[in-house]
Amino acid sequence: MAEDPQTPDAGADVVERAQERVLLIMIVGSAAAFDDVLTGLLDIGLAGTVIESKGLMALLREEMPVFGGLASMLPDNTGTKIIFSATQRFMADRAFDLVESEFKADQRPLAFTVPIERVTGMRG
Amino acid sequence: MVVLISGGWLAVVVGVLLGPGVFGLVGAENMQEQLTPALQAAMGWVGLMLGLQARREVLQGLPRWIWRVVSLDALLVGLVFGTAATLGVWAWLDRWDWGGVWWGASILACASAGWALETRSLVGIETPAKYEQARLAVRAGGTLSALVWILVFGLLLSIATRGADGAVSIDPIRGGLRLAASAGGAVLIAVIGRFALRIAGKKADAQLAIFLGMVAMAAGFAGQMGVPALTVAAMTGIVLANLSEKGVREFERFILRADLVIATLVALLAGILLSPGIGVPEVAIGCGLAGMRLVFKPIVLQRGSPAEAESGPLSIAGVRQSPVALAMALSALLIEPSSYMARTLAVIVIAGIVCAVLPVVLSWSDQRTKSVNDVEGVAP
Repeated sequence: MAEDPQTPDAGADVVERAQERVLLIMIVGSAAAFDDVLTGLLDIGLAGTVIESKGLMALLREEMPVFGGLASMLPDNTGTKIIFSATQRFMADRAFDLVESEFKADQRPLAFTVPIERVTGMRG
Repeated sequence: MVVLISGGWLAVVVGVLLGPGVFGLVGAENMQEQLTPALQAAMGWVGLMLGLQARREVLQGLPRWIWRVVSLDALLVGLVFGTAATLGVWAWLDRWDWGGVWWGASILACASAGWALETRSLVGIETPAKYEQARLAVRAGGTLSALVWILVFGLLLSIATRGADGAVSIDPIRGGLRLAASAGGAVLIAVIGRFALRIAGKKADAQLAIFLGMVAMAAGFAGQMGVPALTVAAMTGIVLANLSEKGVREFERFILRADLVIATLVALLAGILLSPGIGVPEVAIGCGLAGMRLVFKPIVLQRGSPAEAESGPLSIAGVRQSPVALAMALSALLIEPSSYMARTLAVIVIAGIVCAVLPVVLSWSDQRTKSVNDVEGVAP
């Protein structure tokens, strides 16, 4: 029986797709969740850049507190963190697996990838 | 308009429109009884929200001069506002009635503690670095002052008790014991709450159920002891904040996230319960309190802050009444549902609105004067 001529190409496609460059973005809302996310990402060997950020409601709570004057000055209550990681698709998939297995649906950080068209200076 | 929105006063207006005085969507008959569950939940939420911020590590991290701001405000409230409120209420009632004067003056004096914490309407969305100390004085000083006076408010109201004949008697020992028993209750509620939070983990629905349970227990204790629910909830929050447990921090965030929503609910309830028969005395006392805030509160912030602190537009932040004042008046209404308490609430609303508008008018007129002077300065 003749071999399916598609198979080697399909395999090559899968490998090629897994090695595509993507930008993984994760928005983590709480300090406790951030610790878990960071540990998990280090475990799978994913490097990244973390920036401090604020959600719209958090910004409102910080700038216009009504009863939470002291709390509005604590980053715990007003800050989120965004993790950026330029990586390959298979590594991003591992990060998604980690988030989906370690966190319940209502506690997961917001995570998504966008394709990278061109890149330079990337290691690994 | 920004001032009215940020101070929550538009929600008060909506409440008035919904109330029996205008559209009557909330009927006058048994209105306070109907609103009691919402009032207790709101008071519980506000009390917990304030109490949960009094975490030992946070308080220890504050600069010492913040306590100078809080102490100066305490002196001002106790001596100046206390005396003025007593004289004002005495004149308002037209006779010396111990119970009436005690209740009215206590509420009005305690409601004058602290100030609004919002700074955005004065300095814009990003506070310039040079005003950081002034912002800290407004935020931390205002929160701590409100918290201190919620406890004093609980003591003052528990001292006055209404007998079976309707007469109010003043009994400091009994009042002190009631407050001490309420504090014991608060510790018990906090310990039970911590245990429940350990089981609940991070689930928001379970945290809401625990919150409702804690509020019900706090309101029950408060009702039995004749102490404001706001005070018992605040004491519970203080104890809970200082129990080191990971679940407590999650719960703290859950409670604090509702800041703006609960503030709107409090303002809405205040509007609905506002006495429709507001007369000249209420307006006069409200405006008098607002005038006193205008004179004294900037001095507290200025004298309490370090000499090098630049306050700029935040120098008038202390004039604006704290939203906790509304919560205090509503909490008193829960204990004593009478038209006198509704009129006291009206005084606080009037003072709050005048205080919200005054700084804006003053800064506008100041800017106008400056621009006129500038134009005159460049004129040939």
